[in-house]
Formats: sequence, structure tokens, C-alpha cells
Amino acid sequence: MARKLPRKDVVLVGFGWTAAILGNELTDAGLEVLALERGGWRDTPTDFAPTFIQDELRYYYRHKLFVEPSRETLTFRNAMNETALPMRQLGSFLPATGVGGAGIHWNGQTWRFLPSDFLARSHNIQRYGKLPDENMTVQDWGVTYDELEPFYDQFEYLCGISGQAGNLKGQKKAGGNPFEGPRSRAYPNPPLDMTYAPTIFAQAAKDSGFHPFPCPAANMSRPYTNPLGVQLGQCTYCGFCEKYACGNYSKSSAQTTILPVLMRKDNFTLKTECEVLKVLLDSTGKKATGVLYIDEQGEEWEQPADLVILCAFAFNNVHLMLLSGIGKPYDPKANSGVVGRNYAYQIVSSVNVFYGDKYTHTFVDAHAERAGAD
Amino acid sequence: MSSSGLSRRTLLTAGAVGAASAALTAAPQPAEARTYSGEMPWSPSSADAPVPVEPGPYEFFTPDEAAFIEAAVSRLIPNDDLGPGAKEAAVPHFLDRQMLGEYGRAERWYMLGPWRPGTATQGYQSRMTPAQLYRFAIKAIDDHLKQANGKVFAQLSADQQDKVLTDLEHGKIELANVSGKAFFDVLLQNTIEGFFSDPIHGGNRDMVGWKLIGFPGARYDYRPYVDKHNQKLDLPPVSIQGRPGWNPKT
Repeated sequence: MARKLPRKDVVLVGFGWTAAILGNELTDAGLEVLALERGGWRDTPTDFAPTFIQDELRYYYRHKLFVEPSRETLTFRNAMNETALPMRQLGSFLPATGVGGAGIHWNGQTWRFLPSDFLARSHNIQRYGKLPDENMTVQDWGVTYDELEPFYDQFEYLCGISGQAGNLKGQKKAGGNPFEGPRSRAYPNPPLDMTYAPTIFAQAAKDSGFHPFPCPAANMSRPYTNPLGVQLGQCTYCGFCEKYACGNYSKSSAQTTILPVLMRKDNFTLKTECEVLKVLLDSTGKKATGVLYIDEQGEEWEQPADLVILCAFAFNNVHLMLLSGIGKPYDPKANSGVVGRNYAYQIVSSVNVFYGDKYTHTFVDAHAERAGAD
Repeated sequence: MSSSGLSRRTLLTAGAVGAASAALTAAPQPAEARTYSGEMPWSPSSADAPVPVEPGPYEFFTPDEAAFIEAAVSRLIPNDDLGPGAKEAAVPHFLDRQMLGEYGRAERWYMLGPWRPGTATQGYQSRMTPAQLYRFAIKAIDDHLKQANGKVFAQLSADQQDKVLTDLEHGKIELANVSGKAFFDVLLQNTIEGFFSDPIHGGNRDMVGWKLIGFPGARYDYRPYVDKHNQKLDLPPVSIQGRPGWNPKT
């Protein structure tokens, strides 16, 4: 039987990027906020120090920073008529755990959607005619680029994103992406210095009539102090970004942009090694009243709260909603329900190019330091 | 913060002590749930530094297994005119320590039911840990070869060994209770890991893997080299532990 704890104004489920941002906003608004994180506390000097973080075996191949399937995993199948089986070891899909979530081991590419991306259905129908299959589940997002622009801007300044604007308040800017939506401000930091391989790509793209630009990167091109007063250091191009955490405070994460401020607030509490099992609902089933969670010792606790915000990875949020009886589960056979609908994992195709006669030095790198072309 | 927060902490601490004393001999201890408020919870001297693998005799592989491994990795990455091979880079030693550790025991993997063969796209569905896979597969391969021509893998010529490895890779050798292809795939992957990963893990001796491909290793700051487009750099490799001659003599 779960023991009941004193009420909080807000419970945040999971403590990565989303919860750190919301935690900071809601504590600023004067609310008493509790974040529940299934993994442990992690900070730069203890867990990502530059004296040992450049370890390919430990972090890339042995998955030190990701969730351990032995603790928590999922089952999967590739088609409806197959039997789902457990994911026993991590492969391409690398779920995060712990304070900061996947935001500590991302590569730092910080894209805005193009205005047309928000209109995934109507834009494409308008441009290319009717959909090839009537049953395609593609939809417009329901929010527009213009509505989100102020928040993109806020996030980019929080993070100190390095990049080159291509469209500043409707004015096209040389060197940036001419197809991007209008920005209210330039990037807070100039683009990273370009290494050789992306330089070759950019030149080839330009020669072919494209409009290459330096990709927006969450790696600092210069020392930066964000609007919260948190300082980040200049990226050293050490090449250990994605699947690693930055030892140099050069890659934006909850740890490097928000936590030094949020953690010191008296109206914020973080509990680690506490996993939320269920969102508790009132008798109408329409209003959340709190959460049920289990701690590392196996004790179950009921935490009442006025606001319950699911801040975990989309997959885990959906899982929690299904376990809590929230919404109508997606049924792919009947094509009904919304919870779990359209969940998709990223698909990226790639081509490798080898130069026998050039020194590309790909070890000199920040993983988001790339050239792109739309 | 309300006073209930304090009693909550006290409760948690009491719970943790109880759990710890009940499980004194069990390893590893689970982390305990913690509560943080009003502070950055950093403590000095707590860095999660890796434990370097020290040289020494085999601790996991039996002499027969070690003979197989040394012969097999010598074919996967041979000692030739490009430089030292996997055996010279201490890859067998790396593999031995990997088998003894968390990887060999599949500590991070989900290793409970349901057990079904699965499709090719459903990933690893074997009950065997990597250590068990090595143990079963090496014996099964040597038994298979002995039955066929009276010699174990390590006694074959290089060409014959290449043929056996190629057949394993393509699933052409049927072994008892273990997949030869699954073993080959893991052995090749682990050999590559041992040849190119930081020497702190016991392989890549003298950083020969990094010297071969011109990788300068676990360096921290490449800012001076970002604009050295298409220039030969010749930076000597550095391990997480530095490199010989790096530190002044004490």
C-alpha cells in the first residue's frame, strides 16, 4: 500500500530538458515544484569529466550513459503479425535515463521546423496533389511556425546556439538557410569554425546550385553566458559529443544551462531513483490528482499535486498514459484512438565518402558542426 | 520547504540503512533514492573515473580457449606490413577482461523471458551472455574441427583458419547448441573494440591501433587544428592515462 505524501503544486515526471525548463518557469511563478526522475543525479565534474569522458568503449559501445535494459526495456515487433520480443541490448534506439535525460548525450543539432513542416498534410497536398494513400496518418501539427517562433528564440538563447541566420524578420541573410522561417533575432553565437569535411560538402553543394549553411549547433563557438546567468565554455572540438556528455561545459544541456539556477531554489525539489508508475485520476477520469511512484528501495508513494506534467521521452509518456487509463489508446487495426498514434523513430539514411588523397581529420569535430542544405 | 520533507528524508535514510545491512554480501548495491532541494548536489573526489585494466595472465580463458583466441584475432587483424596485429595489441587480454566484467556477464542486458528465436530484425534473443557464448562456441568449433581432421583451430595453417572463420561468418558451420555466426559477429566486433579502444581497457597496446589509422586519441582540445584543412598533422596519440614519457619522472 502506497504511503501518501503532502501535496505539491506541480509534479514533473522525468527530469531532462523538458522538466528543467518547466521547473524553472513554474518555480519563477512561485509554485512548489517536485521533479521525479527514475535515474540518478549526474553532473559534469563527477560524471563527464574531460579526464575520462573521451572513452569510446565505455560510452559508445557499452552504453554507459543510457538506460540499462536489465532495469527497464520494451518489447517490439516489425509487423502486426509478429510476436513482440524484448529488446535485450541497446542498438540504434538509445533511451535515456538520469538527470538531464538524453539532453546530456545528444549531438547538439538544434533545428527549427520549417514553416511547411507544421503543415505536414495540407502543405504536401497543396504542393503535390492528393496523398498516394487515403489511409496515411499524416496530419498538420495544429500549431504554426509563427506561434512557436518566440519559444524557438527563447530556447536558442537559453542554449547559446551557434549558427548563421538565413532569414531575419523576413530579410534574407547571406550564408544562412534561405528557406528557413523568419527569425526575430540572430543566433546568440556565430557559427562554429568549419572543419574540412563539411567545407568540402558545402562547396560541392554550392557548385550544384544548393544553398549550404552551417548547421545550428548547441556547441559554443565562444564563451557564453545565458539569460539565466549560467556560463558555458568555448567548444574545443574534441569530437566526443553524441553518445557522450561534454566535459567542457560547451554543449547545452539541462546541466549546463538551467540546473545551477533551478537546483538552488527553495521551492524546487528533485527526487532521483524514483520512477512514476501511474498518473492518478479523480472519479471523473478527466483530472489528474497526482502520481504513484516507486523508489529504489521498492517503497511505493502517492504524491498528490495540482499539476502533473509528463516530461519524459515521448515513448515513456505514452506508456504512462496507457498505464494510467488516460485517453483512448491507438488501435492500428480499427484506425482509432490517439494515445500512441503516429509514434515514429527517426529514420536517417547516409552515404559514406572516403578520400584517399585528403586529410579530413574527422577526429577534430563537434558533432553538430556540419554544413546543411535544404 | 515543509517539515514533512525532513521526515521524508529521515525515513528514506532509515530505509537505506535497513536495505544495506540486509544485503551486506550482495553486490552491487542498488543506488538509493535521494532528495535534493536548495543546493547543487556536488561532492568532491567522487568522479566516476574508469578502473584501468592491468597486465597479467588470463583469468577467464582456459589455455585451450586462449590458444583459439590468440589464433583467431591474429587472422582478423593480422600482424603484417601495415603494423602489429590484434594479438600484438593485446586484444586477447582485452577480451579476457571483458569476459570477466559487466559486458561478459551481460549485466546491462535484459536476460529474462519470454524466450523465442525471433526474426533477424529483432536483435539478440539468445540466453547466453557474451562469456557463455565464447565458452560454448570455442569448444564447439574446436570439437567440430577435431572431428573433421583431428586438429583444433589453433593448430591449423593461416589459410585453413581463414576458411573456418569465413565459414563461421557465413553460417556454413553447424555447431551443437550455439550459432557459429553469432559468435563470429561478436568476436569480430570485440576484436575491433580491443584494437581501437583506449588502452585503459587492456587492448590497443602502445596505441598501435590508433597509430595505424592516425587517430590522436583521447585529446581534449583540437582548437589549434580546426583550420588545418587537408594538412598532415602527425599528432602522437594520447590515452586517457596519457602516454609513455608524458609525465615527468618522479
